[in-house]
Amino acid sequence: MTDSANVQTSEDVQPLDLTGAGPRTRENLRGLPLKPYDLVREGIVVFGFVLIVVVVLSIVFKAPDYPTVNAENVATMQPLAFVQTAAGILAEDSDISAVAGYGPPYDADTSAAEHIGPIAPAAWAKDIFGVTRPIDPPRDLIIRPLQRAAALDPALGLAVDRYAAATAQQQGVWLAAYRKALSTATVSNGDVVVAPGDYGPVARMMDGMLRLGRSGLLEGAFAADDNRYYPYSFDLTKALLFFSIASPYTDSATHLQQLGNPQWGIVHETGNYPGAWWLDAYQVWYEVPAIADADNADLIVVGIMTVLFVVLLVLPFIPGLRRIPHGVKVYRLIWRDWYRTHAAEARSRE
Amino acid sequence: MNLTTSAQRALKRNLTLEDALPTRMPVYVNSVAYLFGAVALMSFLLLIVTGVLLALGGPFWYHTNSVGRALDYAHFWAVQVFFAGLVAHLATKFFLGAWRDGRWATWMVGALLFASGVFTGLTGYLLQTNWDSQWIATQAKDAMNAAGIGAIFNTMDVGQVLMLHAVVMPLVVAAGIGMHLFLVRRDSPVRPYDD
Repeated sequence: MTDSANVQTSEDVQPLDLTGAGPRTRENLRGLPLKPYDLVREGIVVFGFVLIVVVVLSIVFKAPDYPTVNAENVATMQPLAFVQTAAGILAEDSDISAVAGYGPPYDADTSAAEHIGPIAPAAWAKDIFGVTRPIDPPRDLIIRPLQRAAALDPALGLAVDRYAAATAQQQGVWLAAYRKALSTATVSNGDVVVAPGDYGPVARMMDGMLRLGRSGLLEGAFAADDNRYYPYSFDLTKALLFFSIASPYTDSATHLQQLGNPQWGIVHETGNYPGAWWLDAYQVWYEVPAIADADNADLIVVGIMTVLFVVLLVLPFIPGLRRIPHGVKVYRLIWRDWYRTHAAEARSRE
Repeated sequence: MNLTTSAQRALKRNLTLEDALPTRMPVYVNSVAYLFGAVALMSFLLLIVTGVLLALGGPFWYHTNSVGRALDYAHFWAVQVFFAGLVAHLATKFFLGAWRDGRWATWMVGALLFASGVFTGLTGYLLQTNWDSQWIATQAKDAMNAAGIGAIFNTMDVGQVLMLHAVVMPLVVAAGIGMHLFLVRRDSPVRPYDD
């Protein structure tokens, strides 16, 4: 290295004053002692630190990536539960069907939409945007997929036609009898066997659903339904809602060893990995029994979090709350060098 | 009126080169707590880098290819470090009363950035296109629908989720970070309380 390389130019020597700073900085830092600082160096060092931490964590722990649970999984592993789910959806049983009686955005009936008194955002959104994701569960999740399958099985098509032509009352009688029979049904070679009875075409239809599920074609039938752009399909609503509140979904995940963590909700990952823990402040409200048991639990929690966020947002303007830091004095830990070494000198200079 | 001259004046008034790239700092800026924001910022840069590489291969590539899997791991852990830095930064700035002396806008932009980051994180979890996404999508839909947001944002529409996570939200967060950094550097670090 030559001598000239060691000579600092005048541009390298920065004065320890506010030369070159803007008016706000000059005003805010007037009279305060300064120290040399290198922003770019600090940025590079922190980036290097973050990079090393991320690479080490990635090598040591990897990250979870469990495959999805689909209709084929459930129909194969739990045929009886699959048929119970399909029959429950056809019967519009809201204990089984995630969509039955749900309201917006799946149907126009706002009677079951969550609200707190007159505050009903779901109903307001329906009035503004309409029913944006219309789903008729019996038709869209059962009848139409079966009508597609009927191209390969004409007898199945006849059963669907017979069911569709019947009165709602007759459909209800068949369904009630069949669902009752399911409680004593057995599984033989993957098929669901019910005791003989008057189920009309329902037993044939449910057998068709089971076979459609087992074939792996059910989600394809959902994706193709009412989709002029098929095979392009990004909307998985029907496929994901088919099982979403029915136990076969989680039971199948357990069978597939995809439930490593009994704590669910939206904040936890499978296994022992950290999930979206930054949503704990949101999720914790669902642990309050009075909220969790409420019909409008989601809206209550959304409301609480909205209020808390607005408080956070306008904290600088809220008398009392904005003085909390001065009261708890954690800053004396962060600024301990200042109070120990510089504060008295700065005060005397002022 | 020359708009360029006006822009130059505004820049000189609000953000000189020394403000933007400071070589001097008040002596009270002397704690590791001042690095939490930088940790979040650098994690965000790493998320952009790994995110762009993941986007080049696409979802099925990062499920099945060993390089894609490695990038997926890095993206996952960068998210964890990002939020750790962000939460620590938020807590630190709260305990310093960092909104004082007219810095309320910096605080508010930061709070909005935090909310944007949380929503970006949610869309990321939905975009994993695996069992976790499947579960979270069906769980999170109820809050979205109850809030009326479900009419325009469907957690189960993976196309919408992909666009939000890979295009819209990174732009929103990057713009927020730019605004936040502008205000931070314009106003300089808040003075210690006079005890």
